[in-house]
Amino acid sequence: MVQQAPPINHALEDIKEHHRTSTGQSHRKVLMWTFLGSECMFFGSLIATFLIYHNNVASGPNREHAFESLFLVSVMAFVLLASSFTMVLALAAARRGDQKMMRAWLLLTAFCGLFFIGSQGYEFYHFTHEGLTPHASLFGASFMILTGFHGAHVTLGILWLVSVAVLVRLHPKKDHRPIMASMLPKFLGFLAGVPKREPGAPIEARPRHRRFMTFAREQTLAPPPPVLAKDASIEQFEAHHLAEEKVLNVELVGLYWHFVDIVWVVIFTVVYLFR
Amino acid sequence: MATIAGGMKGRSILRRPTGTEGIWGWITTVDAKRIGVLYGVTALIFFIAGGLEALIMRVQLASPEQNITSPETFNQLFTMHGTTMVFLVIMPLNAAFFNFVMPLQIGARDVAFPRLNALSYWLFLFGGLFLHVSFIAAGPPDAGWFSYANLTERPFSPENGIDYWILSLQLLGVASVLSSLNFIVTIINLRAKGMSFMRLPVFVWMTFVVAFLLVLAMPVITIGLVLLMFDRFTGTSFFIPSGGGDPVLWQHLFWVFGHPEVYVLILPPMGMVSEILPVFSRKPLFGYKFVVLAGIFIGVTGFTVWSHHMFSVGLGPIANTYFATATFLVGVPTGVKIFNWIATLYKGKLTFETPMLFALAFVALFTIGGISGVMHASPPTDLQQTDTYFIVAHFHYVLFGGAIFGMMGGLYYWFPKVTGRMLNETLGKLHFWFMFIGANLAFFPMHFSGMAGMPRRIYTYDSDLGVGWLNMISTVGALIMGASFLFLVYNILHSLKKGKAAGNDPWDGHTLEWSVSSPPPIHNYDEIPTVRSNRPYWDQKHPELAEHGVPPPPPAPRKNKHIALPSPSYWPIVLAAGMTIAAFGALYHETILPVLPIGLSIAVIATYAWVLEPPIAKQAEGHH
Ligand SMILES: [Cu+2]
Repeated sequence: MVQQAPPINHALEDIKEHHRTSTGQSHRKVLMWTFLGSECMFFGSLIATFLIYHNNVASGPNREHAFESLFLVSVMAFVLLASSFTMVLALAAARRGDQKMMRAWLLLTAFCGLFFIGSQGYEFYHFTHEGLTPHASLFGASFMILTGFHGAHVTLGILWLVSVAVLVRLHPKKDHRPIMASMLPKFLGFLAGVPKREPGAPIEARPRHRRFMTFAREQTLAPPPPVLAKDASIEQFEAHHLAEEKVLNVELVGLYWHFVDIVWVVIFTVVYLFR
Repeated sequence: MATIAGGMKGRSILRRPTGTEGIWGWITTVDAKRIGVLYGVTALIFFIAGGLEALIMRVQLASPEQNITSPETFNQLFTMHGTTMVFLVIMPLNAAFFNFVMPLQIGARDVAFPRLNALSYWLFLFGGLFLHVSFIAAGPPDAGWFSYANLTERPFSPENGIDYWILSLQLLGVASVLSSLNFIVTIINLRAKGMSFMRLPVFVWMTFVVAFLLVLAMPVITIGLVLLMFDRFTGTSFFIPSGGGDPVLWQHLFWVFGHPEVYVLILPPMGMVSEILPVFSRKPLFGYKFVVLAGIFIGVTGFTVWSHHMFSVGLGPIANTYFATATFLVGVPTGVKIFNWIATLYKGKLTFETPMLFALAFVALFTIGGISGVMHASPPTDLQQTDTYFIVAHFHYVLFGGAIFGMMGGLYYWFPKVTGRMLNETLGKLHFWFMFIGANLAFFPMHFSGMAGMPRRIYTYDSDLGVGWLNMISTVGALIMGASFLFLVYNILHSLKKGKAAGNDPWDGHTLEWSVSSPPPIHNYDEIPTVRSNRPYWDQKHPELAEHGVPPPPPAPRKNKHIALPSPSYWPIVLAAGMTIAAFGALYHETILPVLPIGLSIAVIATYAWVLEPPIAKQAEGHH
């Protein structure tokens, strides 16, 4: 007896072909790794410039004097490294489909970054008072450009983290409007005191100030299946792919954030610890 | 017929651009083939500008002690000529071929990030225009294409020309890093089934190597330019000796970028020639693996030889010895390539259509430039030759005799694929011979005028130097060379309307791009082919001669095939415009109008709009 092969699901094959990559890795992930390679040369050039000019103190304070106390910068380094840990937790939460914790960890990571930037601002202010400015000496200039560019990277990372925390919804919502389009009427309605739903809907029971926050309070649903079954339907395939893409949004900002952290480890060692 | 989704209609937060027709179709396009055409046309227009600048200089130098241009104008001319030819002609012409040919050759429908690709083009265009605005606004930059510090510092160059140069290069740098990242991901991730790395066409390999070179080299000059900007705008003194700075640091930062940059210019034409020679010899490329490995080796060593541009700085015997040795070493893989090309010709059934003529001339002229290059890889010889016309002769043999000849070969070779029409052979041959004779007349005598002591970058010279007649020959050659491009322009305009129909495969090609119609459909392939060898299309045509087993016939296109294509988008051009406006803002930061914040705001808004719009508009996916 010859068994009839099941008919090929052409539509599914087309979608699979559309998403196929030669390595199995997503385009965006390969892009991010390559980009970080480029960034290595960027920071490498800045660090080289610093090493060339670090003894050029002219009339400004020298290294020993400027970096007399390493207390603040050590705390900064600790907080930034700790934020790599919260970033990992955010990704883990995203992987298990836990929207609430993903958001919480992402925002905490961003908060650590904010602390870092704030401290760096204070440090710059302090150095300026001590006479260590870009104009005082090339030591000051190369130090401030190096740490300043790192700070700019951290700032960009904070923006990115917050954007991901706000925009990434791990679970499909019924409302397919883009988030900005759906948030704005919600917010205006909230200001005007318009009831959000028909009376009787359970969500109405909440006080008004919490109604607005509903956009950030989604149910934790069962995560999408981590491995796609061989006989998956188109809907299952697309849902799986979409879920992977959403987790990838978190993973990408994580890669960037870890990189910025590692760069700080190098800067901390080269700039502050080497004497 | 398969349904092609995307590319047509759709709606996002704002209305998504609709249609691919007309000027808006070009402005919002994300199709790599169209972006390739945009790169090509733009680069050819900049080529005219850069070429005219060269001709004015040649006329000024035709005989000694002339005063057709002032010394100041002459400085501006050679600066703009060099910058234009490197950043606005050769690099984007290469990008044109990368965009059009590479996805087709690997069996992809597009690049990995179509909108990013569009952004790269618009940034390149705006960066190029930005540089040329300096003609009206400030007087063009005048410190040479490598703009050595501390001539470029505010006390010595108070005008804004240098600032235009710096910011334009920053924009162009972002553009080429983004496009290179895009090409890397495309080649890693979008190869057809069976297209392993050792089956990639050599041109794709060279694209890959060049993309890595740019991704790793561009950040270095970016930092150099940033430091220079701080010096000029905020009064630091990174490159000013009186403030403790070191001008040699600029030279290091520039040449760590600058030497790989030379390979960025020459490796893609090497790839094109490696495609053309086998096709017109009716043979496979001799030693494919060696050609590829040599290309990789050249790319890697490109980062270890930069100080051979700085022997006259006096870095000391140890540094000089190292950089000289490393530079000699680069000659080995380059020689490997040249011998492989020659061996490809050996016992081939050669035919001499225009692309082949250009490819052969490439091998000959590039070899001359390579040999003179090895000569000044030796520090004692270099000290004699540096800053003379000998160096000018050397890099024009490499970059004109090499890069431009190779790319003209590529242009004649792939023009039928791009337009569906052949370029006229007679006009093509006239173009070739005028260009070949003109180039040699122009550049060969420079070896001798250089050896006789004629320095670079001077607006005139003493008649006692005895190089007047050599310069006259160079000028005549340059004019012939300039005239040759009239044949090209006429040929293109003529052939676009009246050229012979090309058909899919006018040259009996080896690689996949010849298997589709000319011009190719927007989605490139109805069915993505499966690859079994280095010459997938040739094997399909001649299965009895296939080296790696008979490939299966290409699958018949299925009726209900659904191909999703990325939708056009406004945001790439808006983002590029925002960044360019920000660059103007940085330049005129003392004006009351907050140009810089406006530009940055546009860029930020465009970025978010870009992220929030799906790559494929929802509505476009609807019709199955
Ligand atoms: Cu070099």
